[in-house]
Amino acid sequence: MSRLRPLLLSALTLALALAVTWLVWRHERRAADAELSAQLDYALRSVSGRIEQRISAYEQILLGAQGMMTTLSIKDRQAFSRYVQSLQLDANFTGIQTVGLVELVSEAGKAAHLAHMRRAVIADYSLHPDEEREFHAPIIQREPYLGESRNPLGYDTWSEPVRRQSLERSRDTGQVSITGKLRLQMETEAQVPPGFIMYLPLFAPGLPHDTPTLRRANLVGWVYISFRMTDFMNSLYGEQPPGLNLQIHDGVEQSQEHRIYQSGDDVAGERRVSEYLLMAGHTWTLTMSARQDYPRQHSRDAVLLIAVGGTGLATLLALLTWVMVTAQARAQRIATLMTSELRESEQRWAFALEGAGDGVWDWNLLTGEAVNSPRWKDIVGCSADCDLSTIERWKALIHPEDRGRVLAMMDEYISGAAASPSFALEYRLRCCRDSWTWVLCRGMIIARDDTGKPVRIIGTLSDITERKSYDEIIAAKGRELEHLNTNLAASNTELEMFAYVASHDLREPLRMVSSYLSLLERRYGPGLDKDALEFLGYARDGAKRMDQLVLELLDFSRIDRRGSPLTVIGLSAPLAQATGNLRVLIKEAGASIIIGPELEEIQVLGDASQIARLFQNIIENALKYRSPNREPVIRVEGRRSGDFWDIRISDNGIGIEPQYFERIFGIFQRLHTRDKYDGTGIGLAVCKKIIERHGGTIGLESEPDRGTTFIFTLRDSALSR
Amino acid sequence: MIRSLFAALVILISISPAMAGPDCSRPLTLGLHEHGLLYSSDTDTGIDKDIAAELIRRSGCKVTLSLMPRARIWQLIENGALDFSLSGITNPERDRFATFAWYISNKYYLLVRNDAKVQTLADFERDPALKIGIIRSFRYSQGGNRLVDSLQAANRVSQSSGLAPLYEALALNQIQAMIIEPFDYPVLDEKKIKDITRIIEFNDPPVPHGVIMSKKALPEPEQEKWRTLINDMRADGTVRQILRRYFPPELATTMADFVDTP
Repeated sequence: MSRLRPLLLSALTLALALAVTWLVWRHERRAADAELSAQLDYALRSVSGRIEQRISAYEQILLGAQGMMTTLSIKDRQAFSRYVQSLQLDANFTGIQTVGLVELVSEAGKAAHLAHMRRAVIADYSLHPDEEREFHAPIIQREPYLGESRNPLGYDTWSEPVRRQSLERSRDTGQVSITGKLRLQMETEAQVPPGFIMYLPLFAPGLPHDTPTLRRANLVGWVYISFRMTDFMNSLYGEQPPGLNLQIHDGVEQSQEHRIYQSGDDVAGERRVSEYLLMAGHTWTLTMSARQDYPRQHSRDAVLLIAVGGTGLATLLALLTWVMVTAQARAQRIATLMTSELRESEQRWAFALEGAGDGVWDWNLLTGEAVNSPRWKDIVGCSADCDLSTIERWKALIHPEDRGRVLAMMDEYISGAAASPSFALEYRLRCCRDSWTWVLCRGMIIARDDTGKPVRIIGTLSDITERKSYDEIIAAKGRELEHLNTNLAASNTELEMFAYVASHDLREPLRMVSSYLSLLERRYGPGLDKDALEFLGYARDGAKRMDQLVLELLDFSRIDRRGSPLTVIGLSAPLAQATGNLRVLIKEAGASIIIGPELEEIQVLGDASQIARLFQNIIENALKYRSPNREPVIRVEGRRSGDFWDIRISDNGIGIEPQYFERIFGIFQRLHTRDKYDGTGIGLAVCKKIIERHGGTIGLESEPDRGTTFIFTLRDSALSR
Repeated sequence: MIRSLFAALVILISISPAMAGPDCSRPLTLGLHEHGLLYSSDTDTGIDKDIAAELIRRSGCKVTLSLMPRARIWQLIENGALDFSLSGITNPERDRFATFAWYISNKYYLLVRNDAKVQTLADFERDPALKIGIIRSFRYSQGGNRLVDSLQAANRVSQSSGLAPLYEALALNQIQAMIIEPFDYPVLDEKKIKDITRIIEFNDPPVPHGVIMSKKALPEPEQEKWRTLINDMRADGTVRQILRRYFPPELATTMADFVDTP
């Protein structure tokens, strides 16, 4: 049904528009018809009026003659001729063929009439047709007696029924009478236009003619005017509008036989009006018809325009309706689709957010309404039917300690002072349970009014209670660690102080022991036996080694305490210092020291004296633990590794078992007895401590009886910038 | 006694202007039109002719009678070129230029051909093939006017300047109906129309007919004088007597005795 609706509406619109068009068209057509009829009627009335006026004018001529004859005899030809001449019949009277006199002649008076006429007028005068009847009505005079009017006189008009009927009516009424359609007697051509005659009776002068009887008794003749119908019509004043046909029929019968006049072509018009014109006892039927082109010339021609235009407009209206209706449907479909997609999108987001454990909220800042998802309520601990429909309700749920901060930050965000597209707040909320829930609330303005004022904010709510508890644990551990570090630093400081003080103070008794041993040997040496001297030598050696130990321990403790600040230094100088210090030893061992050329370029952050000590200890170690089977070769090389330099010092000495790699860096750690290799076991510990102070690392690669490579790293000087 | 004399004096004073006849200082004109029993030029007789003769006799004025088409009469009355005509009926338009003195009242009828198969006025109006013939400028009763106006709008009217052609056209079936009055009854017989026609009555009250007086030609006091003459003719039975010359007594009485409610 909904699919048919646009079609039905379009069809209904079309039907309505067509109906309106039809109504307007019909109204216009009726109006046009009425107008056309009125115009035709007016034109017809105009013509009939002009005919009546013309007939009336001719009637006056006849009445003039009748009046003249009240004092004169019908035989007074000169008087009648002068009368007609005095009329000055000009072009306005071209319809008149002739004005004449007809005399009433009884059969008994026929001979006298003939005699008079032959004597006074025409010698060969005779009646024609010469028939015997009670009365004759011969034409005795025509004026003007010219042209066709000169046809022989004596035509007996009584012999012709049409004329006779009019003559009798005229006689009986005493009024003008018009004949029916006839051929004028004066016509000589075979084909002549129809004519008619107006008769007015003439009575004997001085005799009464008030009644039909008196009129019959005192009638002497008639004065008449004959007309050619075409000439008569042409003499009318005024003009006929183009496009109209006028037909005049004699009597009321409208046949070819009775037609006495026709203007224009004999084409049947669409419209015709008729009028029966009764004049002087005779009827003419006037028919005015409009030719096909008349309405276009004189009438409103809006009917076709309305029909075509209305139909076109109706069609356009229907199409427009269809487009509008279907557009609405299309728009609805698109809106439905978009709504559906939006709903699905929202559902997906809601599902994703809810699935991720986040709640969703939506605030209308204009109305103060708030919409919260089930998960939101679940996080806060609200039941499903809990009223959280307003922002104010939400405010009431915030922990009192957090409320001021949260509302202030919200106000800052909404006012735009925060200049951030979104916000994230951590605070505590509580709804229906005793415990507070730590939440992370994220939000964003998604709609503003015309002035830019925010009207809608949406966001998510995450439960961060667990994370908050972890944070607290971590913070506590951190605090504890910090405390331990503090204690440890103090302990280290104290230990270093102890080592320094101890080593420093230990040397004093050692020196005393050593001095008194030397004094004892010097003063009492000669008296002592060999064992005692040997023992004394052991004691003095022990004291000496103890002093060496204390001295190195003092150096070890001084690495952190008495080191110079780290500065940019080249490695070649410390390396040269170290090899210089070991010159004798190198020579004794016959060792070769090979230094990579890159060492000349390397610049590191370091304490030059400690770096020299570092090189010296490691090279000395390589010399000390050289292989007895080969001359020692010691290589010093450097290689960049990121922000550090890897310095490698390799030898071909006796090597170290891998299990001792860590141990050798411990203080007082020795892999060999003092008998085999002299030493205190502090050298590599000092190296490690120097490297650690420089922020680097130290390690080794070694293979027994093949050699050892010590690798330490120093920071590139570029890091100081 | 004094009171009676005073009353008589008042009556004499009040009726004295009415007693004075119309102004006959100039020849007056009266138009006749040929219409059934109202006037026939063939016989030079008719109701209007008789009414005119009586008016002339009572007024003592010289009145020239002229025979002319009815439309022409109305035209001349409007222009003031004609003083009187007879047997006219009014309408608002005519009231602008003419005033009337009623003397007869009659109904109008639709004379319709039998072969038109029309039973009612509505039947005739519905059939677009049927035409009516009317005399130009004639108005009829309310129903008659409505029918004519409706048919006129549908181009179903043939005009005539006189009554006689309409009978002929009806007989020849060029028109199928015409509107007639009692004046036309005898003509129906004469023209042998009766056999082929039937009469349908308009449901209208009788329409008064009277002397038509040109407002332009006659001052109001003169109009009143002529109206008084007509009223006198009605009051003394002259009108009824004239009508009885042409109609059966009952019809004459019906036509003459009506309540004059202008």
